[in-house]
Amino acid sequence: MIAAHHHVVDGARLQTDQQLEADVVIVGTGAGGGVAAELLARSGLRVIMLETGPLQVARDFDMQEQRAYNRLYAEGGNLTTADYSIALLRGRAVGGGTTVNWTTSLRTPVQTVEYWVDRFGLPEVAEEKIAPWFDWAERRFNIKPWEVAPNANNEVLKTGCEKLGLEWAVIPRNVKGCADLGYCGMGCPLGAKQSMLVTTIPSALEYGASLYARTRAWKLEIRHGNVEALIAQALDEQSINPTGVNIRIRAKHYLLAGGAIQSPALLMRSGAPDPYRVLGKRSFLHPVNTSLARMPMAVDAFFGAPQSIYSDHYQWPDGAEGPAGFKLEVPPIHPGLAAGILGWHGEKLAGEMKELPRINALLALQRDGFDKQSPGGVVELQSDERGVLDYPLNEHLWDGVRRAWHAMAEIQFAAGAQAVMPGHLDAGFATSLAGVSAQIDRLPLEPYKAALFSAHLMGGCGMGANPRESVIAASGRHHQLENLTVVDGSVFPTSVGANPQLSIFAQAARMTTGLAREMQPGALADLP
Amino acid sequence: MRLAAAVRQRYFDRMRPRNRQEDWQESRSFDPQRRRFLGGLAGAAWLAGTGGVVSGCSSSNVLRVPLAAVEADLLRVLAPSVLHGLLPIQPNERTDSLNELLSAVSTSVSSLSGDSREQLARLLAALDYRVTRWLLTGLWKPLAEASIEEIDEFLNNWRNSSIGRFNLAYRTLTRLLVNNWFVLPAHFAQAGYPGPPSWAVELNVLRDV
Repeated sequence: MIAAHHHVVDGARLQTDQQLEADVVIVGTGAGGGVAAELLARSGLRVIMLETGPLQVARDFDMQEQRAYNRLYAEGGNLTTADYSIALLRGRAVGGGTTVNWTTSLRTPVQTVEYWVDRFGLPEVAEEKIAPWFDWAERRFNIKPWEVAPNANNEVLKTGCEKLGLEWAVIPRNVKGCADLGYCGMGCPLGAKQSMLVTTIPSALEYGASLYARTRAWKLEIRHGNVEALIAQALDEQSINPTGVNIRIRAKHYLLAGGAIQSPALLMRSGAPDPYRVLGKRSFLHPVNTSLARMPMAVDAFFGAPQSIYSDHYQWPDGAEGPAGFKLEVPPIHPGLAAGILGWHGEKLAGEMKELPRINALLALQRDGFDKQSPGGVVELQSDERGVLDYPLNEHLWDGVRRAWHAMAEIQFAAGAQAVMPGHLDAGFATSLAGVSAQIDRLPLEPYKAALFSAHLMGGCGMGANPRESVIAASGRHHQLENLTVVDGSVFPTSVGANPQLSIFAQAARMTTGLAREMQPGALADLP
Repeated sequence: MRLAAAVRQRYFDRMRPRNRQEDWQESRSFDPQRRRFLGGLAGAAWLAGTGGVVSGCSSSNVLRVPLAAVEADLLRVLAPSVLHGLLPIQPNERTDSLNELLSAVSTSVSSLSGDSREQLARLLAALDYRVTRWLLTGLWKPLAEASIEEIDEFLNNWRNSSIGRFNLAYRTLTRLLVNNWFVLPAHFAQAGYPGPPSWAVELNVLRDV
């Protein structure tokens, strides 16, 4: 737990400019920054953590959607890609995404790892090399397959897959003392979720690190391939507008972990060298489409561990490359988010919302970035110099979306659904598989018509051996900046093909340990 | 209405995408003609906003918190259609509900950054200014004078339109209202949702760290 004697500063309360010094300054406190902070502080290094969002702890987590979105998500949960076609759920509070994610903790699929090794020249992350880091992270965050029975929402996925003979598996979760409440997405009120907020951040603070919340890393001062300082802005109560108070931090090393939009954007704003124009490119999302089912029984998808079952049956249809593959999971369903997603108004909405307790939803996470036809998106700076992700939708993706709607509907009917509806404005509930299939074949594959989401932002500072096609080396070190390392979801050269938090934990731990041992010989002897 | 459609088409042809990225045309697979339509709604609102013709809207065209009267009034006028069947019928209760909703919308707007607020402000401004309102909704008269059915009709037109920007406007406007309606505990029952388990709520209230 974060305690009174820890050095925690709320940027919103700062009255005067600050000049700080550290061995390492870490931008962002999510899965990457959190892991790095603990390891570096434990090595005896002076660490400063910067977090754009506010510090919110268990007692603030009241299980109300309203407060959760406004406090814990970027843009109050209304963030989108540049053309508004994909809604982005991005955690923005101390602990980053780990504070609000649904606890799914899957290892990077072996197919993905092999693709990275072969295609991007990364023997450092090969299966046998990365496995000890997964072992470490699974111990550190108490990650185990969920032992409790899945809630009825997840049960639909399991039953449907069983009936159809499709493969499915139990999801490992990073929880300790979980009461199966179902409010992971609003911040765990019990402190059971082993997010950065209750694990590595308090630990780093205990080792003497400092945490600045509501403080946004704005620019790096770069000279001759070296970062000389970082300028951060103190933000207002809403963590949106700068108060005018600036914080200048000089450090030996700069560690970026702001996520796949913020890390590239910070480098761009700072005019970081990018000789091969690769920065911010190859940004990936696992674009998600949904299928809703009206079940004969109560599903109550607002209660219970949000994600406990997944299916990779359709994940690798043709190996890593080729047609889009997708992972199947379910989301928790609470009224506010559900009402916004349904895409109805008036009496139609009122009627459907009454049936919410009987609704099951399936998600298909499209695995982007593997095939040539899946180049992902591009992070750019808007006129106000904030980062925005432009993610074009193309045929390759739409083909995956359409196949996923068919697959999800089949599973839902197999599990006993009375009616199924793809998440699309032109769709309606159909009472037979033939009916919904005919509908799916006709749906225009257009942005805004199709409801598309993502909670997984990846890439943009991809790692690779060749500086012509990557931003950082396997070590996490920037190809052109000697004292800058990136350790968040932006380092992945493709999407992961699984919910990314455990992949980020493992890569961040591997990269940070290397850095810590360089700066502090003999440090972290107990790590791989 | 045929004339309105023709004018709209000409109008959308002039719109520009939000991003500076110039090479996006190559990277997208759908045809350029349709893409120009996609710039439509934000563009329509942009034209309305920068012309200085939008009365009552903040001069910077960024939605302020609390909402300006004209914006709050527009949302109040739209809400009875968007939330038809959900809003109480009894007048006093209805007013209270709308006040509570508008306050939730305001809270939600306060967590938006400048760009998102600007887009929303432009959309509302476009509905406020007569020419753009007519282009977007086919209604010449102020929305306050339109019936629930007339508003319902243009919302459905937006929803069913083959022009992406109308679908986006539909999603943006309705989500703002329905999301903020259903996050309020008073309306959980309309979604068959009992709210968070009381034991967990009590435990959390008692927590001292």
